[in-house]
Amino acid sequence: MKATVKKAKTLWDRGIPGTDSELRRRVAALEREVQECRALNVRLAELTDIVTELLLPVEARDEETLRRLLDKYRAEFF
Amino acid sequence: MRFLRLSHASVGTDGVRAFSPREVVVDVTFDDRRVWSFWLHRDGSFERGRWFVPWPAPLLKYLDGVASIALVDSDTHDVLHRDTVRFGAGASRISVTAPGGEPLSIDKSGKLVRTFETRSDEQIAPLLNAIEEVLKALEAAGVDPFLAYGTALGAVREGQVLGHDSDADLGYVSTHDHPVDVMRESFRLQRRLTELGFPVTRYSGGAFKVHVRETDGHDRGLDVFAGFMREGVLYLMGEVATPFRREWIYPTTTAYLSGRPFPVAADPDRFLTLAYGAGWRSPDPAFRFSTPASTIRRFDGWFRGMRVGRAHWDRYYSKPHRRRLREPSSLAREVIDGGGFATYVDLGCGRGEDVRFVASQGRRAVGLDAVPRGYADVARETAEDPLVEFQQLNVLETRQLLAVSAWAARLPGPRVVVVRHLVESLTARGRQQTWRAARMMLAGTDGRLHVEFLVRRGKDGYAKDAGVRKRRRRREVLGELAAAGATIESEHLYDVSDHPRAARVCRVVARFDRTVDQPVDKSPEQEGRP
Repeated sequence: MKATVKKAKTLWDRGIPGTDSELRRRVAALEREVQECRALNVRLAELTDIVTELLLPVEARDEETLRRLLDKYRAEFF
Repeated sequence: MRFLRLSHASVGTDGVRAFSPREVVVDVTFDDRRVWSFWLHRDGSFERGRWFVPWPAPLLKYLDGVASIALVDSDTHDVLHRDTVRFGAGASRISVTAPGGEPLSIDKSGKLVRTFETRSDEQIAPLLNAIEEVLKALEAAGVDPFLAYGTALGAVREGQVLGHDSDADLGYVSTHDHPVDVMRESFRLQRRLTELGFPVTRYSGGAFKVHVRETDGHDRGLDVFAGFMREGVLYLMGEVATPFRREWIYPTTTAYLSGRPFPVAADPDRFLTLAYGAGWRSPDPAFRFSTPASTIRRFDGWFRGMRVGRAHWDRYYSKPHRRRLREPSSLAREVIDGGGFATYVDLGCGRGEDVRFVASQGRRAVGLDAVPRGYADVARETAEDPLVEFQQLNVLETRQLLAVSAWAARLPGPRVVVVRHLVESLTARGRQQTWRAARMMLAGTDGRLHVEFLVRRGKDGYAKDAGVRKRRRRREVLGELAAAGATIESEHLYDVSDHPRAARVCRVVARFDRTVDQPVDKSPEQEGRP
């Protein structure tokens, strides 16, 4: 009896297909995944910013300009 | 509200008790100066027929002595109740002031700050000048800014900055409609303001603070919030995600602060309703945003995550005893004794004692930390020393991480990177970014990475003094280092004292092989495989 109850509870916790608990679990998982996707926005914006600010002089192998730009870019963070 | 009155009111050493059948906003004055405001029902608990609101925690340490305390209706300014209360053993008048004598009061977020209500026009003028300057700079950078939130409310409702406010808010609605482009624009604006000489700190990808120094030397913050429209919804950083129309914002109209004109949203009523609800015309110093969870989640996901733990460290270093310099660490001495390096990079340098010590031994030393307040004293003291440099580095801001690491990678080699009692406080992402920074900084040199962290907090007071609240598992850190491409050269555990329950520290020396990043030549049998 005890084992059966335990098994039923485990099934319930996992979410029986087609029940509310399963839907709740799936919605929670979806919400987490949506947040993960949203978090890419800030990463992409930061990378694009630094690439556009610093990539061109690197490409031109212009050491002096690069040094100056690095100093300028870094100066934002005091 | 006019008809509401408090009954059965009393002011005690633990808080305020009163009854009112309906919600009421109460200002609490000490010797007739407002120090705190609350909503009786929202902030109180109902006990024995009355609402009880305890004194806010930041106020407690000032409550020693005598004060005439009044409960004032925030709307009508009628005094509803007055009590002379004695707190503790002190006999003098209670004075809620900063060490310099500046009056303090509790702001809307529950912090004890210098609000505007005790400021003269002359003292407010630099803030208004700064608002003008920042507005101009933002305009020049291509956005159309206006007063937002509390500052707009003050201008539209009262023609002056709100007495109970402690900062100024500006906003703009971008022409972009995607968070990535909105953030890129915000980064560009930050650069423009930095070029103009304004120190800027970032809250998130969509909001930053511009620091302005007032005539009395006080550092006042000006918050700049990005907004954008997407599919008929206005998103304005911090609090707003609501269906709205662009023409209710632009073209902006004019409102006045102390007689000086400033831009506000085209339809101030709709704009202020958006932020403060339909009751925005009634003053409410205890107002709190009730931002829907979905809005917070959206903004968190899109823009935030770069200031995790920052508030704790700002508070931590606000206490003078935490800024008192300690002896240089034994790790720094060990690295010096080991020799073989030209530049010492202290990633997470805290107060910067080790940086100063290393420089005093004739080596170039760089201190990096997310919280400049921590190292400010040593940075000032060593400002003329060519061997020392301090630089803010928040590893959660990828832009900073890449730029600062690239800069450090160009300092004279060999370089060593020391990460001491940092990984305990960082999130998994923060640690991953730290290893990325270390690897970049060590690129092209044979220098080593030295990591020190607590594996047991112990009871000997070491952890507390080091400001470390958590321990970190040895295996976890070693695993992360290996995943980041590091080769562990040595690691050992040791107790920091003879105490029976001493704190235990793990020290790791690692290197990043030069070959890791280089393209691997394909062997013949790999050729042609997918």
